[in-house]
Amino acid sequence: MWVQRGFVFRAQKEGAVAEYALPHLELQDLGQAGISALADQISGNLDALFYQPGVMRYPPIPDEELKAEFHGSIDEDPFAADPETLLSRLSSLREKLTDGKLVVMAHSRYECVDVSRIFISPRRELFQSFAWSQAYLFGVARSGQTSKMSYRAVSGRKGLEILSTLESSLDSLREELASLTKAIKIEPGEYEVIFDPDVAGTLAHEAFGHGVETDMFLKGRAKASEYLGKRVGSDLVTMYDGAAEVDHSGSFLFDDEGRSSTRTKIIDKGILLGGISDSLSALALGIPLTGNGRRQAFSHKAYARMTNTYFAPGASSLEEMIGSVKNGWFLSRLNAGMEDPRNWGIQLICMVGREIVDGKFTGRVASPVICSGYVPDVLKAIDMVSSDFALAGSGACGKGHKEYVKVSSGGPYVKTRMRLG
Amino acid sequence: MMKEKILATLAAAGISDWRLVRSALRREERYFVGSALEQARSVDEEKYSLTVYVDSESEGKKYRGEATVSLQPSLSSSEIQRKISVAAMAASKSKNPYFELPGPSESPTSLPPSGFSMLGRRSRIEIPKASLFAAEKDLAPQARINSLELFVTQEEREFLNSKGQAFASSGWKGYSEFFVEAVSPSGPVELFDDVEFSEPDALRLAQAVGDRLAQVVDRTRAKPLPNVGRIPVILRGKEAEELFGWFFDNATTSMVFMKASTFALGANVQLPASPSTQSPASSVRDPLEIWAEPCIPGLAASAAFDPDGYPLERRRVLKDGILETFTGSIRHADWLGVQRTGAYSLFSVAPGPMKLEAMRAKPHLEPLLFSDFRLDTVTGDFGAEIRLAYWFDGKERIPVTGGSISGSMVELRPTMVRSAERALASRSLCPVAVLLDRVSITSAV
Repeated sequence: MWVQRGFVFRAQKEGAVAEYALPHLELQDLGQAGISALADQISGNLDALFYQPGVMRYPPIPDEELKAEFHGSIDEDPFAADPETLLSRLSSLREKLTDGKLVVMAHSRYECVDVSRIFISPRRELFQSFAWSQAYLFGVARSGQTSKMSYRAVSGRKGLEILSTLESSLDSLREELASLTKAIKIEPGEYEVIFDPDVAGTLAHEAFGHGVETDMFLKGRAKASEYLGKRVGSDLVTMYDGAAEVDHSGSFLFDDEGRSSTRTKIIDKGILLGGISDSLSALALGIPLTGNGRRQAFSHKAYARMTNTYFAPGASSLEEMIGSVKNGWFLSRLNAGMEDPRNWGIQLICMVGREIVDGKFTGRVASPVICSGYVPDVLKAIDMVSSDFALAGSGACGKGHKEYVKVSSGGPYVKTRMRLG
Repeated sequence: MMKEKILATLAAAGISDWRLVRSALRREERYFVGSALEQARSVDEEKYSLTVYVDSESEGKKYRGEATVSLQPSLSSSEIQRKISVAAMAASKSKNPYFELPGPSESPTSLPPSGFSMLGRRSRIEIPKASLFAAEKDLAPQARINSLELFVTQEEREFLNSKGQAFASSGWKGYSEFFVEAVSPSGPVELFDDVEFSEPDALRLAQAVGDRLAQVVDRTRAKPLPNVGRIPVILRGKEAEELFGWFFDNATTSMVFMKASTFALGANVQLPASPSTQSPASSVRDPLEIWAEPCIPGLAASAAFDPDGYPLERRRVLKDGILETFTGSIRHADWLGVQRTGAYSLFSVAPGPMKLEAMRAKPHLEPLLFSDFRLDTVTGDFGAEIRLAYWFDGKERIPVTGGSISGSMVELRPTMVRSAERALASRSLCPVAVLLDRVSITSAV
């Protein structure tokens, strides 16, 4: 999915916007006449798209003068590394985790993508080049015909250096898998929950990340548009999205529409401030362009998308948070999340739940745990936020069920209440 | 030109075994907000997927490694050379037991031409568009389409390998995702759905949208799911398909070889988990019959050959709950020492014993749309938050929303019951409903 090379032409005529994407431009030895002919062919394709019935018209797409470039750096370049050594490190991880008795299957994977993008418009010339990596270690533990799975994942705009973090997580994953074979089913109900930074970040991502993508505002699909300036969370909830100011899987210099990256404060002390925009929805709505127009690939449409989405840290320690729980669960190992921007439902699936009673772990483990609730209720119930901060960016974010882009999410540990099943 | 460059580079590099798949796509895309066209896009794509195989011997045993690279048509000769060289090196490091590539062969399956091929360029997008919007007028002004995306893709594929297997195919794939909305006393509510298609089937497309429009009207009346206790759950449509797909996916050679599946040939895969609790086959309430299908009219994943170039024919996978054959990649079949059958994208499930109306006769919960239904193929665990369900309390069929369900295929497989009615889903022709006991239901209050 990530390996791609191609071109997309966007044009605006009488307000209408059309795009034509193609995998290859054969420019060598064309000469001026050949280039003109190619340009005619491309504009012919675009022209056919402008004159469709009922087409929407936008204000002119801004094109302020800008020339900029970014060249990222990594510590250990996987493309220059000895492949035998890399293979041996990954094999070793897999072999160490698989004992053939409890852990019947393990899988280790490392991938690195080298990204180079150019944006050219009449007044803008932008270039960026950086690499991101992600690595996983999965294990399947089996007892009889009951199988349970867990994982460790690392990621970032980094190179092979991320593997050492994965290697250091081997023992904890083995112990977790052993505990999962005795996992119970959770008794359905509402509980106090502590989310680890990965799950908390996904709560932010699903709740008020997708919910404030401004193309949802344009479609009238975002309830958030009615709540700007209003309370949607407790005083402890401050939330950001931005490709700028943090360096992780969702960071870049400019988005796929040539807009410079920014950081948007979405919620400030529980009050909803604003959204994240692609160019066209921002122009149609007359709101700021935030540099969040992103495509899965050159061949895909640009939508308003998240980048790095996180809660701001608070003042509590994790120990204090655990100690405050009367009857609840510590939830980790995110499996999936899904947004509902119109009706503010939320779904988070965690692979590991650890029971806490009277401030102490009981040793009971549940898997999987399905968390559901009404977004403002969940955010207003946040009563403790830790001072930690961690981002995670393995996997990908879809818009609904497609259009995958790299993002990260995270922040601190967060304590709230949700319905579990 | 690109193909010739790749083949020449393979020859120059002395790589004797390989597989090359070329895919050329032309796609028209339309994005609607209400009935207004937000944007029109046109996309040309061309992709090459090359797999190289490198053999070795150790202690008298033959091994075969493989690596796959994506090649783009804009790559220069030197870039192609470097990518193939890296792939060959990677293949030399992955030592798996030897397996033969398929040689030249005909497929017993022939794919009927799509109705899209009979249409002009404009009609290919206008007919599905008109069909998808057609149902709106029946439910206006109560419900409407909020937004809709429509993609119609023509794909030409060409397959060739070093053993002389070569074939080409041309197909059409349509996809639409849409959100429908209606206004409730507390504000607008919406439902989502998507539909894949390979034919400009006006009736099927209109029904896909029409069903959701009718349901979103019900969502305006939906109450938060109360505590309904332990009642049966009826899963419908794509979620029912996912349950059947769990059996189909666990009966594949790769899952079994990797020990991700516990299925064994000749075993009843619907019997309860451990030998200590083994029950007689008669305890299985509705023994399943599942077929691997190369072609299902209307589904875009129909194929005469699998990704390795192995010819596909219709095969029975499960009969009376007993696993008769594995399907899946031929290399994993060889490594398991079982018959090669090929990897299938599609399957069908025989009709079940119970009419949907009979399933609905007793108190039950019937979810029609989830936030994101998840079924883990390895663990068999499933669950999701409910967007819209109908709760029948013995007297009334009440629309409800919120809450969630969860369950385990490992536990539910002996007692699940299929509906007698079948319909096309995403990757199968299968019963439209499954009745499940002992699913955990979490209320929304």
